[in-house]
Amino acid sequence: MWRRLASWLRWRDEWTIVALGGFLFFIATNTQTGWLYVVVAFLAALLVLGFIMPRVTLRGLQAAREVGVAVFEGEAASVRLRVANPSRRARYLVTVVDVDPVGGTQRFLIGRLAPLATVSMQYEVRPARRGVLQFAPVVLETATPVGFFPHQRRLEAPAELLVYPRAPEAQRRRVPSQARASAASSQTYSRAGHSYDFLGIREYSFGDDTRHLHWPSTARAGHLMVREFQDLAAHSLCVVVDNAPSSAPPAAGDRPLDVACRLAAAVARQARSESCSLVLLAGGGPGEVRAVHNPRGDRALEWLARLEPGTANSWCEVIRAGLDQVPRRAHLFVMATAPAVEDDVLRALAERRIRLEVALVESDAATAEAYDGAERTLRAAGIAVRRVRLAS
Amino acid sequence: MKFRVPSVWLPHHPPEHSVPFRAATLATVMCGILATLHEQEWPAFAWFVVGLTALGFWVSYRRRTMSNWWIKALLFLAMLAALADFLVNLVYSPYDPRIPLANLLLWLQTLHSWDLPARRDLNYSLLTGFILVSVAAVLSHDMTYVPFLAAFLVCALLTLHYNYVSQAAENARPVAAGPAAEVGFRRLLRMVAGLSGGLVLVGAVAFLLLPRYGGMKIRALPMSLRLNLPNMGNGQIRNPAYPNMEGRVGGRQQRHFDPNNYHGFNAVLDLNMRGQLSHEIVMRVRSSEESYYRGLAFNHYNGDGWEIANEDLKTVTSLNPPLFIPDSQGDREVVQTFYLEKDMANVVFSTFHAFQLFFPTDTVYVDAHAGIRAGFPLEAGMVYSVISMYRQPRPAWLRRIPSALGRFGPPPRRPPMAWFRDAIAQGDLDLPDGLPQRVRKLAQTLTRGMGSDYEKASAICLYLQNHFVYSDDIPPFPPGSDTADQFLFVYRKGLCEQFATSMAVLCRAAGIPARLVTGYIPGTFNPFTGYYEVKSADAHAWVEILVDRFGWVPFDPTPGFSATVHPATRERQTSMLGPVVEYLKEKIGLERIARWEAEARRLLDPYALLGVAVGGIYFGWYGWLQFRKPRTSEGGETETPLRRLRRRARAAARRLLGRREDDTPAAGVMDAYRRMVDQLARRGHPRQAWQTPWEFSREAREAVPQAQEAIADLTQRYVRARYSGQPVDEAGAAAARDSLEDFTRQAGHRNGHPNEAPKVPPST
Repeated sequence: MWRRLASWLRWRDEWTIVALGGFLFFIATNTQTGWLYVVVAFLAALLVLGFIMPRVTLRGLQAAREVGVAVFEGEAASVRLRVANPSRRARYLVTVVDVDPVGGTQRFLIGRLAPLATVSMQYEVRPARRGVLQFAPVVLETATPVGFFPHQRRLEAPAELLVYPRAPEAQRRRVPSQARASAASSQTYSRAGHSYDFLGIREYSFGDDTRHLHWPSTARAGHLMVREFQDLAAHSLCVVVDNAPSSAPPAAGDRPLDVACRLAAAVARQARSESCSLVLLAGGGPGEVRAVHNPRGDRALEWLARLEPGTANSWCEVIRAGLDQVPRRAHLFVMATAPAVEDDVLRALAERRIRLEVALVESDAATAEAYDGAERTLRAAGIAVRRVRLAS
Repeated sequence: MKFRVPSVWLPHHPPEHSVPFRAATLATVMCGILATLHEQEWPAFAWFVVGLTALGFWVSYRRRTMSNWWIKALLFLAMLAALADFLVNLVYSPYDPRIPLANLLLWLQTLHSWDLPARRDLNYSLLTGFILVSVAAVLSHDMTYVPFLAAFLVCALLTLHYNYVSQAAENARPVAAGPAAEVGFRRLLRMVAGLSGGLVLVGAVAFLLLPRYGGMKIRALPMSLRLNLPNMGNGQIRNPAYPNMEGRVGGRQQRHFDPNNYHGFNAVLDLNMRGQLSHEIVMRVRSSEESYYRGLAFNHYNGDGWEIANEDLKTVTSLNPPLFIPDSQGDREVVQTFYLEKDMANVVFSTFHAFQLFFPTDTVYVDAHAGIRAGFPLEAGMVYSVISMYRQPRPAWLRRIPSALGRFGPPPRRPPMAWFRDAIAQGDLDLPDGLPQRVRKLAQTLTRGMGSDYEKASAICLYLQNHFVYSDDIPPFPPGSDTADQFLFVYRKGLCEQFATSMAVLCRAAGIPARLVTGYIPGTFNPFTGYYEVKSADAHAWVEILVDRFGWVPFDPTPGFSATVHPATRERQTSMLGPVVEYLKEKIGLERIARWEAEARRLLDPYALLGVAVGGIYFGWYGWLQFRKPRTSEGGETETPLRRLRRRARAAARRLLGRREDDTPAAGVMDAYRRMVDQLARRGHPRQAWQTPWEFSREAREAVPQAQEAIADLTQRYVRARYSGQPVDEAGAAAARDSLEDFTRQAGHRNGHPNEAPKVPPST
């Protein structure tokens, strides 16, 4: 409201007309000049028309926005705006203002919007980091025909754009040779990881083959349970993304969480190309984890694009809460954004014969000594560690 | 080395490249300049100013991207010269600065037009245009200002529009969306025409609602330049229309009546002179209040006329305006400016009592009856202003003042005041010896038993207003007869002089000092110019009576006029509706038109009723039939004849207005489809009334197989545009036109493939 009031109080052409009209009215009253009253009346009429016309012009117009579903970080996404005039009256000089989520403001001037016509405009946005971009309402504004009393109308045109994390080419990893060898040897299976060496029964998770549902256990447990096979677990990759609250500080550039997501995207891409099963894990609400099992298509990228900071303070808490979702003997990648290591978590992983690799994303949130200490601890436990420095 | 002025000195604004914007601004400014020049009656430098301004706009456009520091420096010097010229002119005309100010503004605008690189500068020019047209409004006296104002408003609308276009395009990318989205010249004209219509309508309402307060508080009142005309006759009345009536002796012999000049503005008022005064405007008056304009007062009645006895002229002199008129009394100020349109007698008009006079001479003369005279006859074009101090009579109080002489009533309780006795001594009670006794008896009858002179005069005035008729169809009264007697007892009708004479005579007979006054009634108020337009026929005569302890009180006994002549203030008048209607009635004779209309209604009523009845029955029957029997038009549409008529009328209106049929994309699609149906009908495949577009499409595709795709595409687009309710974009319309072209090309080959050459008949 204050901003609106301030914009009203700003000196504009219409105030000049008001001041001129007031002055001429004063002169007219003091000189009894009839023609000056006529001039004042026309100035008043000009103001009245200038006030009414912008409001009439914008009435009934419709706006829609078309955006592609998703792009990768740094790629251009095309946004198409359509403004329709469903009435039988032409509209003149309508400015379309669209504030894109990246921060730019696009302004288009429609000289004439013919009756029953639609005008489309197009521009590009180039999001720098992953996420879900929500577009603001389209703003139509005009002060036609004489530039007085500009009027705005906000039209809801909901649209969102997914920005996938771009997996760095240099970070391409290979699936462990053991898993790859098993996959190569089981050529008769429809999919790598299918074997009849029964490993155990576990809770069903999304993406599991429904043929492996174990109905007696399901009946006993009251929820779906599936059989787990040995080779399937051996081919499993699991990625834990450390989305601690400190991983996403409000900053314009890259945040540790974004880098972690890029690394996770690299693993996901690798898993897809190698036809391995994949579990993505991250912190959710208190004591909860977000997980996705065997994501198909671009679901892994979408999951990573939508990933927001959780409540877990470190990756260790995420693993502790979601340990039962990590297949035994799986290859676990942790994209850590904080130098936190907890021995009990390492022990639990070792007990489940889960092979662990940690990527430490370094940021200014912790000192270099802390990262060094974490690296030493992990290496002492025989865990492979890579350090990735956040580009400043 | 090129000299560069630091940017701190010359702030940079982006240059304005729009030629239409500049052209519209030039047109607006020109309207203001021409209006001002017109109101100054085209001075010698007029075309110089116009040419320089136009040239300046052109130079400004050509040099819009340059710094132009030397032009700015020259303009600065020229503006200083214009200011000096203004100050010099102000010294010569200190009491009317309007013309020097108008000239200064004209020169400033002319100079400013040489330096208009940016939009902001053009906006300043527009503002100056507004001020110039306002200056012209102040100078204007008549309706010739209207065309300039109308042109200015249209141009100002265009300028403001282009200003907004330039402003809006500054930060926004223009959207290219085909020909329908272009604002062409025709569309612009239509838009401006519509806006101008709206502006006139809303402006008219605003004009009617604008309050008009009593003003004229500015004391720099206009008057003509000082004239060095010779004083002729030391204040003797000189009327150029009645040259032989100068002075008292022998004036009675003149019988020539001048319709443009009232014979009451002479030393004598001949009551037997007859004639019709013209409706020529003799003067325009700007007045803070509506009031009578008093000219001369006559105090000697001789039976067939009035004379001014004991003139006792006083000379009022002042080297600088204003001239202070002595013996003025009053508590209410009335400010008036008179613009003379015709040559007149040397009588200076004003509301009673004039106090300050802004007159173009250093000397005027005031007679014993407060009549003001100049030393020379007044000429057309002369301007003078008067501030009067009016003493508002309060009837309730005046009725309580006892009669000074007590004739026909209770005797006076105390002797009258000295100036009352002086008036009696000057002859303000005198009556001719031959006045018939019945006149005195009538006075006695009318005023018997009344205790105050004001009451008596009111009774006489009302008697005259209610029992006698105003008429200009009366012959001169018989020689030797008394005018008052003839009017009161023989003719019982007459002109304002007869009414005033009779009242003055009856008042004198009742012992009330009275005199006859000539002047003008307020005239017609023109709400547009703000002037009272006073015509020759507005000349009038009324009466002043002397009330002891108060002074002279005016009365108007003529029927149709207010009995008590008081200035009527226009203060706090909140609507101009009344004055506008009155003015229009006066100017275009609305009353006459209304009479004709009533007459026509009276004559035509039975026929009109019959016509309405027959027409109603016929159209009802016709409409019902047509509603039940829709037919197929030539365009393939199934519609009733009434709808077809409406469609044709719309099309005709569009053609008349120059609008294309394919004004909208949807209309373009439908038009393309109609053309295809027309072509098919000409080929012997008309669309039947019962056929839907798709049914017709199937039949047409079978009939013209080589154009199958085009027919299907056009049908699909037509159905979507016509029935889906979805807007059609320009691309859709263009595609429909392309399909129509394809259809036309392909359907041209009746047999075989379209790519085959047409069959040529063998030559014989």
